[in-house]
Amino acid sequence: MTTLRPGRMTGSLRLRSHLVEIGILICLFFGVVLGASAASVQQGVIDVFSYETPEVRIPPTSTPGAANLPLIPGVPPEPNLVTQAGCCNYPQWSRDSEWLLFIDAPDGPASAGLYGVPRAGGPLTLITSRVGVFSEDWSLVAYLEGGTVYVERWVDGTRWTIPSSGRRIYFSPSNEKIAWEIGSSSIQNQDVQVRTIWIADIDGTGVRELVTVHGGGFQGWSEGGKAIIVSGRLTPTGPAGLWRIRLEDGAGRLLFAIDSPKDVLLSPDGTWIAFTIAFEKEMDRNGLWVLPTTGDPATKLSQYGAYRWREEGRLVVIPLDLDAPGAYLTQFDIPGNASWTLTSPLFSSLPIANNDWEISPDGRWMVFLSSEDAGLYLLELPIVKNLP
Amino acid sequence: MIFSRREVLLNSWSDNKSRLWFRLPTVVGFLCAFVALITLVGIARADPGDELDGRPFIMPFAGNPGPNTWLFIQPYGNTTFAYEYRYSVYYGGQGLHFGIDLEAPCGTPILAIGDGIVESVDSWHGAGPHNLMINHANGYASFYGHLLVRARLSIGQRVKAGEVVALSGDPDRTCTSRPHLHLEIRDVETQAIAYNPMDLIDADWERIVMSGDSPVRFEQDLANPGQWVGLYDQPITHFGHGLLNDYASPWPYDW
Repeated sequence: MTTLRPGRMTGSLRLRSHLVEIGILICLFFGVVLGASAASVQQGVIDVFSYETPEVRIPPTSTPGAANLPLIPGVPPEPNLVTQAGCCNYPQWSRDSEWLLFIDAPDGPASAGLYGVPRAGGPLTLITSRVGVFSEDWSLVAYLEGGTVYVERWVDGTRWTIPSSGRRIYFSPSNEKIAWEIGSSSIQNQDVQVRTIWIADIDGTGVRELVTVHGGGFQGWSEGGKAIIVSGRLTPTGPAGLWRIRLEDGAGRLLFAIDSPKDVLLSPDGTWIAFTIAFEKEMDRNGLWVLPTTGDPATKLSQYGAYRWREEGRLVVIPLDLDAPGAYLTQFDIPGNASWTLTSPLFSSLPIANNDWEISPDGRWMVFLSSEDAGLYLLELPIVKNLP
Repeated sequence: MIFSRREVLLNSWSDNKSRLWFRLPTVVGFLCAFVALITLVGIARADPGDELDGRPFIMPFAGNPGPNTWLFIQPYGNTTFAYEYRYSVYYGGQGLHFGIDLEAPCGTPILAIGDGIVESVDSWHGAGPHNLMINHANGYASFYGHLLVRARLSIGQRVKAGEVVALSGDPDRTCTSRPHLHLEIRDVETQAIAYNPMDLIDADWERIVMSGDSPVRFEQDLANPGQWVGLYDQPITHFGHGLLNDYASPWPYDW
C-alpha cells in the first residue's frame, strides 16, 4: 500500500494535474479569444454603424426660400412658452383667438377634459369635461356614447341624438347643418372605396343622402355651409377631382381634375382650398396648390411643405427644406400674387414637434408644440398687409 | 505509529491541503469556463445595439423628401390609423403601427439601411406583395414591405449600407392606391420584437414630418393623454402580445 505523503503526488496524478492545467490554459485562451472577438464585433458595430449628426452651417444667401422670397423687415419674432413644458398636444384656438385649447388630465384620469390657457398667459382652466368634435364657435360638441353620436350644447348640457350610425359628424360653419360619411372603412384599394355623404339639420332631422363619391370623401364646408367640397369621382368611371356640391340640389361642379389630391385644407370661410399633388408623371404638377372654390384657376406655389391658412387667400407654409438650418415660415398671398419669408431660421428658432402647429383665427399668432420641451409656444406673426 | 490527536489533525489538514491544491486548478478552470460561457450568452442575449451610441442606420431612400421623390406618411407606434385597425391588421402588433410608412412612386429604389446579410426574400412576414429582411451585425434586422417586385437577392448575400436592394411598390398592386414603403426594424434573434425606426435611423425626423395640412396624429388615452403621442415616445412592439392601446376612453373615438 502506498502511503501518500502530504505535498507529494504520484506520476499519474501529476499527469492529470498537468492535463487540468493545460485545460485551463486552453479554456483561458479560447475565453480570451472569444471574448476579444465578441468585443471586436461589438466594437466593429460601433465603428461601422455609428454616425455623428453632421453640423449644418449654411450661409444666409444659400438658405432656400429666404433666397427666393423677401424677408419681412423688423425684429425677428421669438416664441414664448405659454404652458408648462410637456403639458399637451394638438392645441386649437378659441374663435376669438384669446384661448389655447387642448385635451389634458392634469390631476389624473378623473380630471380629463378640454382645458385652456389664455393666450396672454394665465392658469390652466377646465373648459368642459366633454371631449369630442366641437363646432366652429365651440358652442356645440359631438361625441360618441354607446355607439350613438350625440350633439350637446355643453354650456347647459342639452343634448340630442344624430342618426349617423355612430359615424363622426362635421358641423357647418353656421351650426345649421351637419354632414357625415358612410361607406368603405376597411383598409383596401383606395381607388375603389365608395362613401356616401349624408346631410341633416343640426337637430338631427331632415336627413338626406347628398352625394356618393368613389375613391375620395368629404373635405369640408364651403359658401358658408351652402355647399361642401369633396374629392374623388361622382360616378364610378367619371372624372376624378375636387368638386363643389351644392346642398340645395346636390349638383356638383368639378373645380380641379386630379386623381388623388393629398392633404386637402379649406380656408376658414371655405373660399379657398389648399392641396398637394405628389408623384404624378407630369412632374411640374407636383407640389402645393391653392384653388378658389368659385371655380377660378388654381395656382401652384413655389414652396412645398406644411401649411395652414392664415386668412382667406393667405397661406402660411413651413417649407420641407432639410438643407436649411431650421424650420422657417413663408406666406403666400394668392389674390395679391405676393409671397414673403416671415421668419428666418437664422434668427428665429422654431423647433416644432409632430408638425403640430396652428394659426389663430385672427391671423396674428401661431402656436406650436416644441420638440425641445414638449411645451406649447406662441409666436406673434409678422404683419405683411401694409408692405408695398 | 501512534499519532497524537494534534498530529492527526495536522496530517489531515496537510492531506486536505494537497487535495485542495490539486483541485484548485480544476475549480478555477470550471469557473473560467463558466464565466466565459455566461459572458458569451450575455453578449448574445443583450438587446440589440445596447452599446451603440446614436442611430446606426441610414434612410432607405436617397435624397430629400418632396412631392417628386418621397414623403413621410405614418410614424411608428400608437397612431390613430393603427388604433382604428387594432382588432384586425395591427392586432398581432399590440395595436401599434410597428414600422414607418414612406410614400413614394412605384419603382423608387430602396436602399439597405445598414451593412448586413439577407435573411429572407418574400417571407411569411407579410406587407405584400413582396418583402425583404436583412440582418445586421448589431442585432437588428431591417424589414422592407410592399415591394414592387421580388428582390433579386439571395439568402445569405451580403449587402452594404446604401446599396439598392429593392423597389418600392403598392400593397394594392395598382401603384395609384397607396404606394409606399413599410419599413420595420426588428431584433435578429427572434424577429418578434419591433423597434421605433425613428430611434435608429439617422435623420431629422421632426423636419421630415413637416408636410401637409395637419399634425402627425397619435391616439390619446383620455386617462393619460400625454402618453405615446410623440414621434420618439413610443413603446416597443412584442408581436403576439396583448393590445397596448385598447383604451376605455380614447380620443379620437372609434367612429
